[in-house]
Amino acid sequence: MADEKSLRILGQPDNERERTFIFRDEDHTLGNALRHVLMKNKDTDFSGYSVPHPSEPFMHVRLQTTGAPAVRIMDEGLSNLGQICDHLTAQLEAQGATASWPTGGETTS
Amino acid sequence: MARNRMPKVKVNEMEEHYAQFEIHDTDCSVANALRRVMIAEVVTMAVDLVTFEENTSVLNDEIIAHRLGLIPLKYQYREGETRLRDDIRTTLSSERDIQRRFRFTRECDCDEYCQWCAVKLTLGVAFDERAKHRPEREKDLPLVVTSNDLISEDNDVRPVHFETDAEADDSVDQGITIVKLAKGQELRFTAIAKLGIGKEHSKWSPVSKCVFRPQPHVHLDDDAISKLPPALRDLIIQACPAGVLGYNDDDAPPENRKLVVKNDAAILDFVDDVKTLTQRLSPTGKSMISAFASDTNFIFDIESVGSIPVDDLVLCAIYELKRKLLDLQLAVNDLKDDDDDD
Ligand SMILES: [Zn+2]
Repeated sequence: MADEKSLRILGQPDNERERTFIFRDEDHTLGNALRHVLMKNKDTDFSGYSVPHPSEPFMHVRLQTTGAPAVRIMDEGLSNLGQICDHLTAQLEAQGATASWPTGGETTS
Repeated sequence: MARNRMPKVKVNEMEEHYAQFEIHDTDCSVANALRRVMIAEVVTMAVDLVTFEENTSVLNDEIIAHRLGLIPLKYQYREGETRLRDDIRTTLSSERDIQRRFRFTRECDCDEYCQWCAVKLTLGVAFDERAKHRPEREKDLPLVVTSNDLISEDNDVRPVHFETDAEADDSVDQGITIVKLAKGQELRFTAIAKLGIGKEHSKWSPVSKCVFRPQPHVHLDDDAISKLPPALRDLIIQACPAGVLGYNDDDAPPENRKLVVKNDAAILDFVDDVKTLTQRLSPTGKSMISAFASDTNFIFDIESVGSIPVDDLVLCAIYELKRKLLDLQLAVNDLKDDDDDD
């Protein structure tokens, strides 16, 4: 079913600079952070997110670029946010997160 | 490519149940995403289905089932003993992640539940039976049924308990109270615990406190303050609740003491009071303090309910966020090709 997809992309085929991404089962948690990293991208002209209705499981991200394909910029945005996650994990582990757990092992994957 | 600030983390405190850390050089939206994932999307286990065999207590079945759901269950990875799932796709998470051991029941191919997606806990307490073993003068007192009476059939999962014996000795409770039984009453049931997240029901939320606040930047005009007589400096300290402002050295003679902020967290709430007061005390009418909230640095305070140690919890939350992002990146790339065909 089309509605069951985790992501739908709306936009005009002849204008790849502008897209609306409809994420299923996502909310402000990802929406606002994603909006932020997209705004940081120099190719972004406009980026905004909304949760159209709180009882529907959809979150919309509108992305307009200065020329690059919007889908590519979204891909970059997701990967940039992923890098921030990796970086946070590394920083926490470097400062002994997990090591202080008294009953567990020292191993961290 | 975008130029993204890479955040820095400074851990101030990391205990099993409590943590305080700072994230510098990031944005409020990223900090908020982390906070929201910790509250609502970290996977834990909680009682979800209860079959009552006998309940003659004063609480009805539904209330007891609800109370059982709220008892935190702790999963403990035991090196060499815990049998982990063999169908894990990603090695993104640590082996202590509960999802390396259990599946969501809805994703499991069993009929109802099995050892890979659920844990069975049983309880059977009858007042009359227990009363036999109680001292004579306590025989008729109500019997408190607690989480200690729950027997888990899985050695990797058990109801939370005191961290240390000392902590248990300090407490008047023996465990988490489920119900009190009087003479002749009995409670017997089987409870099934399943995986879930706080978004579905808050009983699965691993945190009792999870907040962040902007780090304050405080500037005190030491010169102007040192010129005030000691009594007026005391007055400035008294403008805030105890422990917000104070002296760097309480034993030093009054003229050598320096006014310092003792509680960074609270100063922003009282800076306006101090500002007004110091303006009035100053001969020039200039305030002697300024404080503003940073928009890049944040302080997190987290308390775990006990189901997951705090350090694991923070890492699990980041893994969860990362997992989400990777899945969506795949979805975007899938659709990217469709996009090109149009
Ligand atoms: Zn199963």
